[in-house]
Amino acid sequence: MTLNYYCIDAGSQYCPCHLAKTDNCLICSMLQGKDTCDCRWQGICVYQEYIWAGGKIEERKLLSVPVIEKNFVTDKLVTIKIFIPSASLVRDYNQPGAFAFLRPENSLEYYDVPLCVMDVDESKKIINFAVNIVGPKSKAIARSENKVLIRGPYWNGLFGLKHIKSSYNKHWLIIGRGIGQASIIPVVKNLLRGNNKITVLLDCGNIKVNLAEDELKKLGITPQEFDLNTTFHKMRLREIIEKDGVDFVYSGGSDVQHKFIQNVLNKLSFSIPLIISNNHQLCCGEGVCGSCETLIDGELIHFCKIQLRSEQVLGG
Amino acid sequence: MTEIIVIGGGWAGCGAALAARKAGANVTILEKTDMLLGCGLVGGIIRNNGRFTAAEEAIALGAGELFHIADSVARHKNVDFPGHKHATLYDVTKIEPKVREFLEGMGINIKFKSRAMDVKVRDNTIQGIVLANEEIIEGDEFIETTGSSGPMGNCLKHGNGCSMCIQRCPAYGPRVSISKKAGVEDLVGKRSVDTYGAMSGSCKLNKDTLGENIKRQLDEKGVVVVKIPEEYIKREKISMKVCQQYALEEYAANIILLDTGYAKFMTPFFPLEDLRKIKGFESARFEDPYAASKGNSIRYMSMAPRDDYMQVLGLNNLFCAGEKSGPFVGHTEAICTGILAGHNSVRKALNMELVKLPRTLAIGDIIAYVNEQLKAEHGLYKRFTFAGSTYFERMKQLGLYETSPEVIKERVAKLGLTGFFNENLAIKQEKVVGMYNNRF
Repeated sequence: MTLNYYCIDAGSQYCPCHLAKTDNCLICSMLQGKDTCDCRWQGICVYQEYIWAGGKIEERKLLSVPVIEKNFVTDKLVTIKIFIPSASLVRDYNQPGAFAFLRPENSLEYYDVPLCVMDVDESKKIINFAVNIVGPKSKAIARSENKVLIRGPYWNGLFGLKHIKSSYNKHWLIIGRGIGQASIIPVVKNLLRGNNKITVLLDCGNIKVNLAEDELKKLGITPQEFDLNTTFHKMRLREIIEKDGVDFVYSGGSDVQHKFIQNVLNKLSFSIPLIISNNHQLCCGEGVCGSCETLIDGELIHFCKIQLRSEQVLGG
Repeated sequence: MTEIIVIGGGWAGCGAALAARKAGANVTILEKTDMLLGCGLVGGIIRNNGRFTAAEEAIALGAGELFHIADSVARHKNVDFPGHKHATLYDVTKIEPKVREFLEGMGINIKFKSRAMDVKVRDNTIQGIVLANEEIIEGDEFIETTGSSGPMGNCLKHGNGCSMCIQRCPAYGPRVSISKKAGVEDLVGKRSVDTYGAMSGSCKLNKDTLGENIKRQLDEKGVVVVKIPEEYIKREKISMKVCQQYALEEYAANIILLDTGYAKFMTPFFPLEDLRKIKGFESARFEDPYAASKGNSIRYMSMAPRDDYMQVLGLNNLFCAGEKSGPFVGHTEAICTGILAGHNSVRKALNMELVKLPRTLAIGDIIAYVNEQLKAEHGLYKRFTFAGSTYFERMKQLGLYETSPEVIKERVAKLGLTGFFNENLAIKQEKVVGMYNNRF
């Protein structure tokens, strides 16, 4: 059996992509240089799209955009609001798992920081990002004043997107920790549209503040305090899942957190899908550079583009 | 109870399911679309030339039900058209529900919209078929009748692109070669050194869009031949065709229509703007493929190497039939190979000796002959059918071609094979085991 997965970009306006052009398509055997057709079917024929487009590909554009607001929440944490001049582009950023690469104006590509979209205001065309200041790239973007360069949208910021998009009238447990809290607002907004019940646990982790708390309250959700590092909370987690009839769990945080939650779920007598934030080293977002490549079941996986189940990503 | 899984619900799959069920197995058909018969939904021609012999042989051998169903919805019998004699034209708009009802009535389980996507294999033995929804269907023996046309990429790379044919890949997803997924390389048919596959040889027009004269003639006689003005004749299309039995000058120089419920137009494709310049076709419209102005489906892209028992070589429990089992053309050929594959799959599951059909029967001979030809030089460039071209010539030379049902019955009886496929092997097996146990 081959690994079954789908490409986040297949069928979008950015498909076919650089990988198709170089005989490295993740889906289509023809665009891997083979003579016969044997694809991971995604509902569209990538080869047909490629031929009809005359071999041209649509690139994600690099835009220079104004910084509307910058707010140092702590000395290690800054939120940056930017204005995107195109309504359709803003819409494309407004989904769970969306991310972009930001860098200061007049800087080179290797200053690109992959940042998940924390919130989108479509009416004002504003996107909000949170930056955890750790090294040269995040420091540089935190110092940007009037304008930044943005490349996107990219969409593979979490694994298990199809569960979020198709969920209706279900109960979701959402756990956000540290800078991982930045990814939960778009998830919550999407789930609210599907009339889902939502329980949120927040652990401030090493950023020392609950970044998502104010926005959640505006959405009518009161998050509960949580501390991942204690046995007591491990018990509590299990209790919430078993007693409150949770259908899905979303974990926004580190791989250590994902594994911790996975272990709790594995001990249950029933199975609950776990949806997790993508923590791989994303560098180009296009499957070209290889920085996010990982070997899974003997296959090299580009984690910037491929949707897998959380157990495949985490192992076990 | 023996579990037989048939992958693909075209004519070959239906033949295989029928024979496996008769032999006493539990049978499941996995079909990716919402209907059975595959290309049979736009077929319609049986019993022309040597196909008459093959159909009557299948009937005498005890597995003729599908031919009886086709006969029962025949619009025309004993029709002659260029190069072909005594054809029966079945109504493609009526046949599918009848076949479905018949097979379900036999207790065959048919899973529609269930696309086989992958396979679970251990030590060259198939454990189960993985569906597109990741459900796994387990069984003892498997029969692959997934055909050899599509997916879209093949039609694009080796043809004129997706023509929106009856297989409906864009809607139901691509055909997957199960044998290849299980580790056996596909054989790919060729048109020239670097072009693969061949193009389906006919398209269908909506009868109501044709001139009154043509329509009336079709309804009365079943066949209409209209001369094509010289400027629209495209002789190069002949070499593209799968159906070498129609690769004749008459088919390039004339519009040949057969009444199969649609007006079956014996050319792979025809630009509508040219067609509408011809008298009687001013308002013509294609019914299949929808884009027959530009092309048709590409076939023979995925054949499995097999033996004359219809077993796929290199695997312990996979059989094949129809176009999957070699460069066969036509529904009669699909049904007949399907019957043998279905029957032998049950024998295999019950640890009984497998059977080959004798070469004194057309069905037995074509199965063996095609395999020999495939291994010969240029084997991948050839196509075989009871209905014409080289194999029909061979039938005539060997005296296999026969149009009297009585004589064919007699032949089968002499071989001691009358009603052979009617025998329930599972019950026989129990008796044999019982006898054995009673001796000790």
